[in-house]
Amino acid sequence: MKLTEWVECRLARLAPPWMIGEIRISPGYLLTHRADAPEDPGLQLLSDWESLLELARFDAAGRFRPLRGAPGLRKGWRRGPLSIDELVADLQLLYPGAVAVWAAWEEERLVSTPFSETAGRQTGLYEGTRRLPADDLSLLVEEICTRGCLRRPLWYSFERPSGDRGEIPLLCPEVCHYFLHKARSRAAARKAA
Amino acid sequence: MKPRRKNLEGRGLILAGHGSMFSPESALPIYRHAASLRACGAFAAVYECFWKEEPSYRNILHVVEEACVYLVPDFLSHGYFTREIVPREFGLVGPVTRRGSCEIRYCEPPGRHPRMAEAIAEQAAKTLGEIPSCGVALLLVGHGTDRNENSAQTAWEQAERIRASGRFAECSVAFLEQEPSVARWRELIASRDLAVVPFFLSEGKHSYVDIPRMMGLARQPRDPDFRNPQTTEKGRRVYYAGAAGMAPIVDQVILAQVDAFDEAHRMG
Ligand code: SF4
Repeated sequence: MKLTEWVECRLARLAPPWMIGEIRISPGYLLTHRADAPEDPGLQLLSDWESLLELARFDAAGRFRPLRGAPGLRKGWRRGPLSIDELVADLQLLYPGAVAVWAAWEEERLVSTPFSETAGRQTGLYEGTRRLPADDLSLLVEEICTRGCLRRPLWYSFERPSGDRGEIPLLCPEVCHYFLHKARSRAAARKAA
Repeated sequence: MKPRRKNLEGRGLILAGHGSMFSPESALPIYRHAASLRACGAFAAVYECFWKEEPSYRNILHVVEEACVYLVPDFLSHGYFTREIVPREFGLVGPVTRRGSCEIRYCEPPGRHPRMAEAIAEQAAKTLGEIPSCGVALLLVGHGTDRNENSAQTAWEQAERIRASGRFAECSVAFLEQEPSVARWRELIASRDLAVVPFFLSEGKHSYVDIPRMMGLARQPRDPDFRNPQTTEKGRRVYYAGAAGMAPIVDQVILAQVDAFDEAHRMG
């Protein structure tokens, strides 16, 4: 089954509105920030992909958001009505991979990659991440993933998503580059100390 | 975009870019190429992914649904990323890799295709406007001595093609970090007027600041009073163009690399 069909069927079995990260999906596939009221006439319509990309990549102060799962998505906009194809494409920009990973998770074919495996493959600048002490790893997970990201790091701890009604889980099967970058700095600081 | 002679229906395209955690402009050409290739409808789906941004190379493998995908490293040349990182992260074993039910065809970077010379010339022509290019030199400026990319060799090859096309009075290559240095542009170019094309995929500090500064230009592209051309000593006029990778036809160069892959590997 194609991912778009899967999403359409799956959403039909969940009570709307559907939530994913900081996004609310209303029936007819209308997207808004979850803290905004979808019927608010003051919301600005984002009609093209460039403005959606801007929304995903920059916060309200215009700062670049290297981590899409980080809380802090701008408010005050709306998008839609969207077809199912457009909905899946939009979510791919907002939370890359999240929908496909959700489908894989539900179909019990999601394989997550432990940190040691990702770090073990690294060469060049990121090779140092292999030597990150376990204590530092858990501190970084707490700081970056738990407090700074809405995704759940399945690569670190297996935790069943709550399955709240209408809530689409944001799952992370493998450490992201942002995390690797921080891990590298931490490992380098350790080495220097 | 021109109609295609080959049917790629049912096949996907992955554009693997570099991206950056600090410079948002780095990923822009990849997003543009992907949007344009999506709009042309040649592929069942077009996916963009990045080494330093989301979605990552690893992440995109969860998303791809087609039984056959072309993987194009959206770079100007081969180097550490195209030879080591991309193959490693995608688990490639050669030009053709089977991963589960998916066949991945690993293409050459667009910067190496002969048609990239057209993209470079197009950027120069755009900045020249009505000025006939045959009286103007083209100066292609690359990074040089980069442990990550062998762009110097590729820049020389593309310059040779531009020279052979006869479209410009002359065509030279210069670099930021190796000889011939772009600081010596006055000796490298005999023509009075020149169009400068940064041989970079995206705009950024190299194209906006480093090249103009090394050339001794009074204004940089981001300055509010920047104008083309800038007249320097002895009345020489410098037309400063956009980065090569930002040329609108790079999407066609990517398609050309996909075709070139199938031709080279005799695949349908
Ligand atoms: S590794 Fe952590 S910070 Fe990065 S996407 Fe996953 S959960 Fe978020």
